Amino acid sequence: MCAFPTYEPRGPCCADDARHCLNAFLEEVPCVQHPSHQRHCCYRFCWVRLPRLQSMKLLTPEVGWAADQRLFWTANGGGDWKDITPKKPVEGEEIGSIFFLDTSAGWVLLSRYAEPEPRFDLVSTTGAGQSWWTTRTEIPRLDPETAVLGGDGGLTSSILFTGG
Amino acid sequence: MDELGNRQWLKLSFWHPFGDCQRGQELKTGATWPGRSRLHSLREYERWLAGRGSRKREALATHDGSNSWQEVPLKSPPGAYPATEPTYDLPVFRDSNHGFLPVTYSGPEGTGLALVLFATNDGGRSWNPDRMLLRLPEIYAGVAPPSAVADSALIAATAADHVLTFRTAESGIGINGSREPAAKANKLPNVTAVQGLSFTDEMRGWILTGDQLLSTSDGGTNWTDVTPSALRRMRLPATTVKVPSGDSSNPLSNRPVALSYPLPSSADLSIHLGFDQCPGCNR
Repeated sequence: MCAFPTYEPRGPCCADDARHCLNAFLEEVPCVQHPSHQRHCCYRFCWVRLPRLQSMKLLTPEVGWAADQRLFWTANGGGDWKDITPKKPVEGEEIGSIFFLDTSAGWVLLSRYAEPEPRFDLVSTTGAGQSWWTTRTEIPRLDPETAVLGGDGGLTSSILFTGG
Repeated sequence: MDELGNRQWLKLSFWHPFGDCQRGQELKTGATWPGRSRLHSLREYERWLAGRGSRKREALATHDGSNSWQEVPLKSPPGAYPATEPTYDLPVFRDSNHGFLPVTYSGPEGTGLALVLFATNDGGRSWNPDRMLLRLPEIYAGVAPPSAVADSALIAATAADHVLTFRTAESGIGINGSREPAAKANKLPNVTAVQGLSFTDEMRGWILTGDQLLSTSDGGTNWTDVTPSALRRMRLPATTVKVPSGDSSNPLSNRPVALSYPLPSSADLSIHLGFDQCPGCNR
């Protein structure tokens, strides 16, 4: 987690609701607040996820999506973008994987580490992200960090999760 | 059940084909698509899985809805030698019979990689090498640069020293001694690595680099930055700070850490270094 390239160190690690913490010199210092960024701790050092593109797909010559922890949609080849990020049912859930079957129907896998099993929510749209439906999904023994969402269409549809 | 029919899930199978390295689970919807008929994908009970485990690398296929899995029969073309160690990707199907399966072969250090595109005309029962890109640089040991299959083209892109190199191969290229087409190279100051490709055909597509999304509509001759404005990063001058030492378990101790920052919106730019308890952060 700590070496993940989209994370950068940001100072001492604070509890979620803390405003101050003690640094190595026992001095009280304000916590570094990054409400829009995911935060992870490693060796008691705080790392924040930076807004950086992590995945994308050009579905047709004009229509495509790009995502970091937000999901953006374009209908003119990237000239303009619309934020279509689905609302996360649980705070702290991250976008793990995105799959669009075509220019309308798609799924986003949201996940969060939890005990005894990680939490997964699968959100889906039939309107290119204008609205989303959420399905709580049980996926035992799957690591949220490596879960990949794929699928296929046809007369029936299926979603495939794999993790390494 | 919503109109997608995805409120009811049926667990089909759970398998560990690659031992401790890859596992998967398939969930299948219980309803049909409402008038949606993009039939470019596989038949209902056919699935493909590609992996690179600790013990072996293989591509697997099922033709019976995940009840049984068989290794996909592939034979590396002689032209790929000495790159003979395969890493499989997932196949791309144009219809129920015709599809492509990219396989990257690696060999001894310094020999480069061979990206071979296998083709099938019988729904994946048999595969033959259709085209090949040779001497691709490794991202790191044995790992190939991103590639894509779009329409009838095999596309690969690499970046080194801020030069983006773009290669495409049509059917027959590289196989049976035929020569590869020349690569297109563009000097792009902000490009340091290629993380992904997505092309709809040989001409039009995107490349994802570290901070940028680049678009081409002329087969890689020209590139335009189409990064969503919300994600465009403006870096402040890098700052080097020294993390306090004394914690032997801390890999950052005694090691300068270069920090760079995205343009803050309302974020506090103060940097406070040190360590404290982290009751809310451990997971």
